[in-house]
Amino acid sequence: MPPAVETLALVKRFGSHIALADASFQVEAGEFLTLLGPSGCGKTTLLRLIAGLDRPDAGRIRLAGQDVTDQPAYRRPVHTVFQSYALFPHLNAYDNIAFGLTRQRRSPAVIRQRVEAMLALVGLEGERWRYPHELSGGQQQRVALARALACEPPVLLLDEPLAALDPRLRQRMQRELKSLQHQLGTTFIFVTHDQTEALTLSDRIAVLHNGRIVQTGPPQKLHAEPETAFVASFIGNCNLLKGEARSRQSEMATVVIAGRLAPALWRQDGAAAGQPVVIAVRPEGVQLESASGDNASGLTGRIVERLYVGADTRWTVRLPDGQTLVAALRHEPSRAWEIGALVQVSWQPAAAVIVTPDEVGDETESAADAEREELLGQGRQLE
Amino acid sequence: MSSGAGRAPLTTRGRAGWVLAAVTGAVYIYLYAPLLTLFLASLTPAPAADFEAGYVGAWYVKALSNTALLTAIQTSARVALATTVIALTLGTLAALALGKHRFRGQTWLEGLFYLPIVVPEAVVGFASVALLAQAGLPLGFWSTLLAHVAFCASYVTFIVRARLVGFDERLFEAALDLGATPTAAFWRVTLPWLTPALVGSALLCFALSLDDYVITSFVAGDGVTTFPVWLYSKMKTGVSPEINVATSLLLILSAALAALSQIVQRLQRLPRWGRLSVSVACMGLTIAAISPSPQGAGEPTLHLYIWSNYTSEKLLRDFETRYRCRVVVETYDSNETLLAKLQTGVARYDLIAPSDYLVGILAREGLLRPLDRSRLTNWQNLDPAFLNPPCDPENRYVVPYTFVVTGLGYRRDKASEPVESWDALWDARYRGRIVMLDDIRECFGAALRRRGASLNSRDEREIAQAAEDLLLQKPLVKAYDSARFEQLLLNGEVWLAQGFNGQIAKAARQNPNIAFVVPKEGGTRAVDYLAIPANAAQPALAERFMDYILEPQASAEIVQVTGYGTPNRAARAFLPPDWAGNEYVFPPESLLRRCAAIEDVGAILPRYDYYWTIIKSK
Ligand SMILES: Nc1ncnc2c1ncn2[C@@H]1O[C@H](COP(=O)(O)OP(=O)(O)O)[C@@H](O)[C@H]1O
Ligand SMILES: [Mg+2]
Repeated sequence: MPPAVETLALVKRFGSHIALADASFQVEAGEFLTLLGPSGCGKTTLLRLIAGLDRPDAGRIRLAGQDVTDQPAYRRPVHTVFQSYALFPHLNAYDNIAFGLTRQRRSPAVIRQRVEAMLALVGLEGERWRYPHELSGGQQQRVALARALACEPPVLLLDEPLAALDPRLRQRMQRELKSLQHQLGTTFIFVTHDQTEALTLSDRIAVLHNGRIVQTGPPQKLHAEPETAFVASFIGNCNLLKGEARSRQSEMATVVIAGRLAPALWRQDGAAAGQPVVIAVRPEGVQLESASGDNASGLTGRIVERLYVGADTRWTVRLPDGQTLVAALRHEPSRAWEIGALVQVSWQPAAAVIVTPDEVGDETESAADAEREELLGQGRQLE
Repeated sequence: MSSGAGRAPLTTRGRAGWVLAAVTGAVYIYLYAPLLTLFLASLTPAPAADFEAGYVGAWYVKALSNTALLTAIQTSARVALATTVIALTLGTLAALALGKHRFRGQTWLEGLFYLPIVVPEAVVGFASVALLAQAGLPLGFWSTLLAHVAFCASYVTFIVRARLVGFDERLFEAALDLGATPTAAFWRVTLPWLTPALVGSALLCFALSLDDYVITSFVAGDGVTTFPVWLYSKMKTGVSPEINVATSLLLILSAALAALSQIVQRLQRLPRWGRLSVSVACMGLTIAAISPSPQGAGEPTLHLYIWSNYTSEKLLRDFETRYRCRVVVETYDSNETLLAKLQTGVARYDLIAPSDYLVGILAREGLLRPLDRSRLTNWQNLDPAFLNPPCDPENRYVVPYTFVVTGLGYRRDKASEPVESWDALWDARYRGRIVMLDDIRECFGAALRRRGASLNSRDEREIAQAAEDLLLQKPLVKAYDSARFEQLLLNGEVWLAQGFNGQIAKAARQNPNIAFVVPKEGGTRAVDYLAIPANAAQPALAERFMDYILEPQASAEIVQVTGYGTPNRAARAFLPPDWAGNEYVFPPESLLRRCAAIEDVGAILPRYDYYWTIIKSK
């Protein structure tokens, strides 16, 4: 069976700006695929190409094995839940949902039955006569979903459908979406910039960065084994440390960071000892211990910042070579260092992964910085 | 939210708030007081003298049974409806074009689009006439429509464009995504979004077209009399209750349309009642517009330009049916207006009614067309005394129509003694009870005659003396009015009126206490003629009309409608005795001998004008 959706080397330019460069991926029928990436990375552009609302500058699009690149939007068997919902303001909930069915010239009886079914599915039987501006955000979202699903499209495109909802409602809608998708067996291509949402919902995640798909895989895999620095920092907020590979035994490697040795996983082939590498370390995997001046044989650093985040404390440590890293530790009296205190830094081999540096190296740093800034903000609020 | 924010300053800054409210209230009163007065005036019960019963709304009944008014309303409705449909289509297309495509110089192009909104109407009107003349298009319904569409389309574009800016392009894409073709998406999504703006601008177009006077007065030409044009021509002859009614109707209608337009434009979408009323209104208007008008279409049209109160509706309709044509009447109230209209050359009339001294001028300027006497089969009905007058010695151009004597009308029951001299007009006992004709030569005529001078005096001293007399008289005069003097006599507002015999004769039939005299010093006499302008489109029809009027029955009818004597000798036999023997209508020869005709005074006329200006402005 051919993939439900397949894109081949899609390119889309806006003037001189390249919104999509060489985007290729496949989605199996019935799969819940998430396109994850920071805002501006080209997610919406990619969806619009699949929906047929924009035409690619290069590349092909196939739906269920059929090339639809040259078909206009209204001929493609995909429907979209728009980021802004785009509900028709002059139609009530019922007529909004019936719109696609009416376009397909289904019989009135079929339309009525389908719309009723959709209203029941999204729990809006009581709101059928309401106009969009008379509905709450969550209700509007459901109408948009019902409208897109009413024609039973084999593929549903969802562009950050939950972004505008408040966190609690968002969580509930996430569960509902997931069960709905399960129930209907529809192929979902779901766009989000929220990594938690992506990790919770997806069968598979495709991470988009600067108009390219940088890694595709199941959530756990992306979380545990990021292949690029960007994926590592975007998923799981990994620390990215520059170092040098010292030795390698199959997947286990020893790296030198700030002149000290540390273990790391090295899954990619072809790399050799002695070359500079980027090591991604998850904050939860980092351990800190008080270090007295003389027993410091491993990696050491000084505490430069302390943030209380829920049950954890996030410690920022500056290594002797100036790099910083964050460690997330449970609160414990024995781990109450002052700013400036010397600590010993270590991690389990599985907590660190050697990743491919991205072409634009400093951009990953800025992503990590942004993350830190955000946490700093939260921490200040807590203090 | 916004209302709360708006209210806050009023309550917190109490005194400032009150002042603001008071000023706002005052401005509203200032704005609406005239309109309210007008409306209330239109509701006043008609006096029992005019109608069997005086009841509120009586004037409405009277106004609405006036065929000229009804025709004007229908013409306006037609023009407005056609304007609305065309302007809406063009304006919307323009708005869509401006909205979809971006190009260099767009701002300028858009600016040009809205220019007609700010350019003075008189300029637009004049420019339109110039253009139409260049293009060789006749003035009439189509030229009016063209001009109205031009300025209305700007408004439509403006409103629709504003609405389009707020349109979320993603709605259109959502429709495509759900399987609608671009055409279907436009009809199902874009258009419904625009509907409030479309309905709103349609209402506005209708109101604008309905209200427009300035541009229409330029481009309508003769035949087409819209409601405001009719209203304005009526207003020139004084404010009557009928005009109050007509104006109130126009006011209420325009206000309602404008208000509705505003309300509708603000709606998110058109509610069900909106859609329903739109359909009902469209249907009603279309029926009204296509319903047969009182005038048939496709028949030759006679454009008659004549004094007000100078024809008989009955005769016109009879002529129309007899000769399968239409007669369109436009009226003027002074020879000077007629002359000005003919001199511009834009207006084209088939038949006019100039007074004797004007005939000479028109003939000299080549503005008249020689008559084909062979077609005037009833010529022999005329009294030879009226043939070959000095203004047209060989009767090449004119047919005498009526004769008029200017004298004094007065209320026998109010005047202290029978009036027989112009002196009465200078009698301080009648202070505030005197009305004079609003006419330079007639006023000077009275003053000159009173001192024994000639009506057509060219003597500086005599003229200066007359001017001084008129100035002295002014405090006694209630009004200078050529159109309503008999009304003022009838309702007792004045007791003494310088006036034409016809109207006073009619008034005297209503109230026997009204009398007419030709003062012993002598009065003015004039003959009004029918003539055909050189540029007439239907000269043959005009001659047919002349011949029709020369039939004794027709002339007799004219006498009874206008109150003026006829030069048609044969007509007397068809007049009832009380008309034929009416000395006011047919003053005896002895009286007529005392009267003189107004003649061109030549180079001294500016002196008259100079004094007249001073008298009128003091
Ligand atoms: N119609 C457009 N014209 C110009 N630039 C665009 C257009 N649409 C998107 N872009 C640019 O392309 C990039 C990708 O946009 P988009 O796909 O909307 O990102 P996101 O991942 O946030 O959905 C952004 O830098 C955006 O500014
Ligand atoms: Mg987006």
